[in-house]
Amino acid sequence: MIWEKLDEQRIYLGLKADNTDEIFEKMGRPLIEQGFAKENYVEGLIEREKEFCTGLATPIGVAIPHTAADYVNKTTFSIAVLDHPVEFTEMGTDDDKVNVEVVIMLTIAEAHGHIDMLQRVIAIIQDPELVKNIKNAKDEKTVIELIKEKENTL
Amino acid sequence: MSKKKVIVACGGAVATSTVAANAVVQLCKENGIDVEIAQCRISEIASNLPADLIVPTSRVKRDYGVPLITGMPFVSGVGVEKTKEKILKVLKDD
Repeated sequence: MIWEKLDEQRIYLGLKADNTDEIFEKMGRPLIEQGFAKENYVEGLIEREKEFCTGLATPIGVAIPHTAADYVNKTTFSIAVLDHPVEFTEMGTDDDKVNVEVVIMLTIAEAHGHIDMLQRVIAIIQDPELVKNIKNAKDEKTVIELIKEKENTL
Repeated sequence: MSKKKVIVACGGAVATSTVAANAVVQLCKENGIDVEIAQCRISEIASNLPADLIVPTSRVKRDYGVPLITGMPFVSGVGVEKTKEKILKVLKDD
């Protein structure tokens, strides 16, 4: 169950950021401090996003920033609901833009692994109603509850 | 039908290609297609050739002379059925 990985510390409601770099700093720095990611994790996210962008053209824009396993100590993920939408480039395109409102940062310690966690995150992304409910959640606990409920149906 | 090789590639071979690879394996299983998957980074596609199909989840600029179908729908959930049809069309063609 991935909701068990989702500590309230790694849920950010109303995160204020004007661009992707700021999002990566605000979500990535705590992962370094908590020991999940290495010193250069934020730089890794910024570099990778330039080359392989992670915005998704879902009904409510979601982005799934992540970087190579070399930057990571221990697998986890974090969720942010942005205070206002931030423009990401859509994954798989040159410069199609998507306005992202929910960010799910994937922190993955080994390549090719964690298919179970990934499938569950994908199930969240592909459920527009759930993404909407996460976006409107009143507190961090609610986000965890919503994901737990979803996982019980998988 | 002979065994098919599909290269599934993304930026870091960490997240999205894992999801797409899983989807392709499942699709082939459901359709009785014997498939071998090579999961790699975009930069490693050339060294994994030859293949019958490339499914990238990032942009690919080079033409490898092999059919290429984006695996993005397996991540976003938008257009999955159409992508599955396209993949089957390529893999069933012979």
